[in-house]
Amino acid sequence: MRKDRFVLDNNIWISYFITKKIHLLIEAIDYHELTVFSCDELIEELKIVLNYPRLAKYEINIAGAVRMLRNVTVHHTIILSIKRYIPADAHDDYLVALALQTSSGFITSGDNDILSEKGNLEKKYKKLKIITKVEFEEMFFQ
Amino acid sequence: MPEILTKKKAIDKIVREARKLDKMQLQILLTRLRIKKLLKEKAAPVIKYDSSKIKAPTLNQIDKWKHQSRTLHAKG
Repeated sequence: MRKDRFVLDNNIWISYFITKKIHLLIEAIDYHELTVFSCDELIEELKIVLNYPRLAKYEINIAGAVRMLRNVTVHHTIILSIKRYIPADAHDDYLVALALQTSSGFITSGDNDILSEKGNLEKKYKKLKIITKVEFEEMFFQ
Repeated sequence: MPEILTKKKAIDKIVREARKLDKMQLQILLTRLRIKKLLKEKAAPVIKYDSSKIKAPTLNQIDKWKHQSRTLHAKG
């Protein structure tokens, strides 16, 4: 597991897009030489969420957001079968699979189903940490 | 005195070094270069709403929408 490798949940990506702070995230990735991974599952989900009617008022350029995410992340194809990691929501399992397959040291999420599994996941995968957006920013935002 | 490389020689040297990297290391390197380019060019904003009129949602709200949009998508 590498301390400079990250997986960010879509709620984190969307939060940076909507609050117009995506440039701060990209600057932090560049400055700290972080590697953030993405996969098809993450990108498909991003499109689904950004197309959700309740986000329409934010006038998001969906193609632009997807392009930006692709540009700043390293794409990984999940090759092994995705196991059950998050008992409360199987839709989140791909994030853990992505982190494990890319030797990422961190998953940053604002999803309570994932955050509530922090103890179990960190016990099972000693070098993987589940952190909140606040913790991520404490580490890398100056 | 260090050798001053021509543009072609410099590119050839970079390509030779890049070929030594494995696939993931190469992808990481290319992503770092894309990020540098993106920051230099200052990409156009992907959000247009007027933040003085519309309040930005909380992370909890965004996560709730993530789950709701999944459900809506699954229903087709």
